[in-house]
Amino acid sequence: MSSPSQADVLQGTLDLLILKTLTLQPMHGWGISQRIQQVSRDVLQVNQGSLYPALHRLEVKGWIEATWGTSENNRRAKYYSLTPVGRAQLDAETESWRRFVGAVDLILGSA
Amino acid sequence: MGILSTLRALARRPRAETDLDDELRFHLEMETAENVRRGMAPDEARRAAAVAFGGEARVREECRDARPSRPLEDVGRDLRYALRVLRRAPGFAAVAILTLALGIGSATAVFSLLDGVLLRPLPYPDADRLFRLNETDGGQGVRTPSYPAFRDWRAETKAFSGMAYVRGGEFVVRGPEGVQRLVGGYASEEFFAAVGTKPLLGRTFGERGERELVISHGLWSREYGGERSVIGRQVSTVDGPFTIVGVMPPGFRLPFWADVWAPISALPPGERFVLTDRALHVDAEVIGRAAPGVSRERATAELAALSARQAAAHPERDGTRWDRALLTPIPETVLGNAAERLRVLALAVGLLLVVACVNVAGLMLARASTRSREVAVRVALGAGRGRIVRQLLVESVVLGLAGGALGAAIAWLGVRALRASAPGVLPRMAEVTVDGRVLAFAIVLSIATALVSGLAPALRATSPELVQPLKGGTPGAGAGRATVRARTALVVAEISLALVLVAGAGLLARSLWALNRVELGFEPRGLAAVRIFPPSPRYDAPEAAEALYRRLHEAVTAVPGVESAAFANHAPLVGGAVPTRLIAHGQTAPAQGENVVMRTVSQDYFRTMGTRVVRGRGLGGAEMPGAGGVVINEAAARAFFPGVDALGRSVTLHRAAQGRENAGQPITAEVVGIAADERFFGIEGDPPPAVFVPWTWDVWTNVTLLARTDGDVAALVPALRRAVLAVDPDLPVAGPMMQSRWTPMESYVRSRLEVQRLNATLLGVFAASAFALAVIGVFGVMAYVVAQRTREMGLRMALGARPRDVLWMVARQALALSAVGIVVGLGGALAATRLLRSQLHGVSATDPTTFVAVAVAFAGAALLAGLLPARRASRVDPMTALRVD
Repeated sequence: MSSPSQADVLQGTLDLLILKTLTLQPMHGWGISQRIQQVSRDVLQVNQGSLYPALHRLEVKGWIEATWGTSENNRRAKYYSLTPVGRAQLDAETESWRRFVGAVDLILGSA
Repeated sequence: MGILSTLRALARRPRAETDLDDELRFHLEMETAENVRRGMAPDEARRAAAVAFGGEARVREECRDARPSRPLEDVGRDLRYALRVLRRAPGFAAVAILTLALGIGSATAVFSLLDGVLLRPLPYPDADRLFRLNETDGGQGVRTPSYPAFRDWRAETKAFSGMAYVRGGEFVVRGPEGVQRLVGGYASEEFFAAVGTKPLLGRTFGERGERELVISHGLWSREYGGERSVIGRQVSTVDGPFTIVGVMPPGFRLPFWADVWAPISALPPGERFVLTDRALHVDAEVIGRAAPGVSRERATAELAALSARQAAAHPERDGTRWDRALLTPIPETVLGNAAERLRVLALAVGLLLVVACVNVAGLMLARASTRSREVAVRVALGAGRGRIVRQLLVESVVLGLAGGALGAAIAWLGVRALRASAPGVLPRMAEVTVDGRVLAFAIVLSIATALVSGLAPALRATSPELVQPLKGGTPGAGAGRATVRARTALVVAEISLALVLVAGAGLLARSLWALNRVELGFEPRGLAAVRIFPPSPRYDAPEAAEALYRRLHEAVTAVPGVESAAFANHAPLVGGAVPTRLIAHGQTAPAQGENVVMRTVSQDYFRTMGTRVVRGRGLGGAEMPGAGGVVINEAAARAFFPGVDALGRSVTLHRAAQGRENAGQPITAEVVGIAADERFFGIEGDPPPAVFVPWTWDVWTNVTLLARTDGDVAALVPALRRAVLAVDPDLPVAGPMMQSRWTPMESYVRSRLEVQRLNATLLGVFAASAFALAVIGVFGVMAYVVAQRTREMGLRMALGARPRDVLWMVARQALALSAVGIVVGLGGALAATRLLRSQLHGVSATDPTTFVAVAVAFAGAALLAGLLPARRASRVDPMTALRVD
């Protein structure tokens, strides 16, 4: 089990990654988890399960919305897509993430 | 989160659960399929998928957390769990529910009294601007202004926006059970406008002087079955017919004795002197509504100025100057000292409620230590402390609501019983009900009580110290000691609170006992009385009244079983009193004023009443006609003849029969006897000074008949009634008031003590309950201590200690514990019983005997409660004790 501080960082980051992933197209949970692992080239090792509470939270907040559809192999699956609010939120969070990373870089660079 | 989305989510919850199942299963199957595609065996693929997913139960829980309806869902789950847990501990649940029901029920009953009597507005709009208006002489003397004086006030006042005069009147109504006397008033035209209350049915009467009646709600429901058709009905009275035009709302009693109102223009001819006689000051009330923005002080000053002008313009025959005014707020005239009495009850019931809370908290603490393993398991399974505390609080609330439901039933029964058995014990008693407001109070109180008594035990049950057992197995001795400490503190608090209550109840009981033994000055046993108001104008002339009284006396004396009969203008406790100014020749006027109670009595009065003539003689036949002697009571002798013998001295008093031509005329006579003091107005308080004169000297307009028997006086009542009706069938000897029918004097005495008896009984019940709860508390904690120390005791006995030593060890602890509670409680009681001071008679608020007795009772009970478990422990075979665990 991860220590609390790491979990906190992860949670905020996870939301950001989910929103970013959904900019491409509506996806189901498993698809999102595959996508995040691929894109991060397996650097981000997240329990796949912890994706779902995050998805449900974002749905309740109205940043993403869910519809039940049929998967590529003809199974009933829950697809998530980005809402306009979610898109605006993604922009804001991306901006603040960039500033954060920039600041850390600056410190690391000047050290 | 909005309430709507919460509710929507709650409604969709079953669907959400299957959706969650489907979603997670889909993920695992996809992952498994992917693993198989990468070349794993199916079993291994499934296992790998599960590992990659992480703890599924936790993911589900976190997904549920994301739902807005989550808190409500949890409460539902907690509720079901709580019911299951409580069903498994029926003994605990029953004791806790009964304890809470006792506390909540008592508090709810007292609240319904508070609510009905004090909190609910009186049926008079802006009641704080309504006053009863009186003239005073600046001293003890207070009187109602005469009608002409009232007219002067009303014509000149600027401080009052409305003012009305109500002359007490009787309405002798003919009905199937003979004539019945209803008490009401002849009201001046402004009356209903000044009071401002709208009728419930029909209308009130105004300026037009017609023979119309407005009746009270009580009379309407009692006599007319609450039917709307009563409006327009003709009522036949001895004074002619009236038409009922209106019914007032419940609680409208102004003046407080009135059941019926008629316009003053309908006064019977024999009473019309009221409208012109400036010397008439009884049986009337003047009510005024202060104009907006006018203070009580300004209104009082204005009336005083008007009174002073009147006093100068119309000097009194006896020389007293009634040149000041007294304003009494109408709520005060209705409520009297009810607020103070109810405050004491509320405090008492509050204490009982706290004791009940503390007791239940103790029970829950005890349970917390036995449930530590269950709590530990749940913590290990991932439940947070907040979650478990909430669960335990839901359990308390379930207990609280069950206790509250039972308590509300207790309150309902209690209030009903109280209203039936003691309807006159508080003003507005008829308006006291257990209704929605009171039930809402009970529910809020139940939840509050549950939270208060459950919070500390819930925090304690989930404290890390107690959650250890899963690791070890034996509850830690440290945890046990902490629980004992907490429960001991609770029991100490219980003892001290209960002691305050028991001390208060003890004082009231002693006071009641003292009141029951007060010398009344007459013998109530075997005596019956009735007040007769002869109808006008048949008996208006003094000669006619005199003849009637003689015939009544003869008729009553002739009733078989009557030992002696007498009559008087007024009798002790029965009601009525008129002052007369008494001047003792050669003496200075007493500081407390010269007014004494005027008593006109027949020859056998003292013998019939059983009133002792202390010195000299009673009023014999010789004095009855013409001049002769008077008797004064001891109080008058002390006041007017301090240090000297009153016998044989000369006094002057003034005729006081209302409405007679000769009212106010002086009579000078010799004091021929001194009678023992009669408790005239009540049992508490000092008897007033009085002068007894032969009844023929000042023939009263009404009369109190007295009959004494050596047998059962209640059995004689029908014969007494027939005797009166045989003299004149129009004489009213029936009606709702005790005075209007033959009533044994003992009933008057009992009714005078009704308030004290009720206070003592209620406080006694609360105190007994609190005492029992405290003793149960002591028993509980001692039983727990003994159980904790069974092993130690076994060891001691194995090492040679005798059972007696073990007993003493436990007893010492019980005594120490109760001693602390008793000391704290005595301190609290000393402070609290001061509130009772005005309700105590013949015993001080800090009566040492009561306090010592109460302390001893508590110590004794605590000792017993400690010895019971200790005895069991001392009989235990040492070997068994050592093998515990």
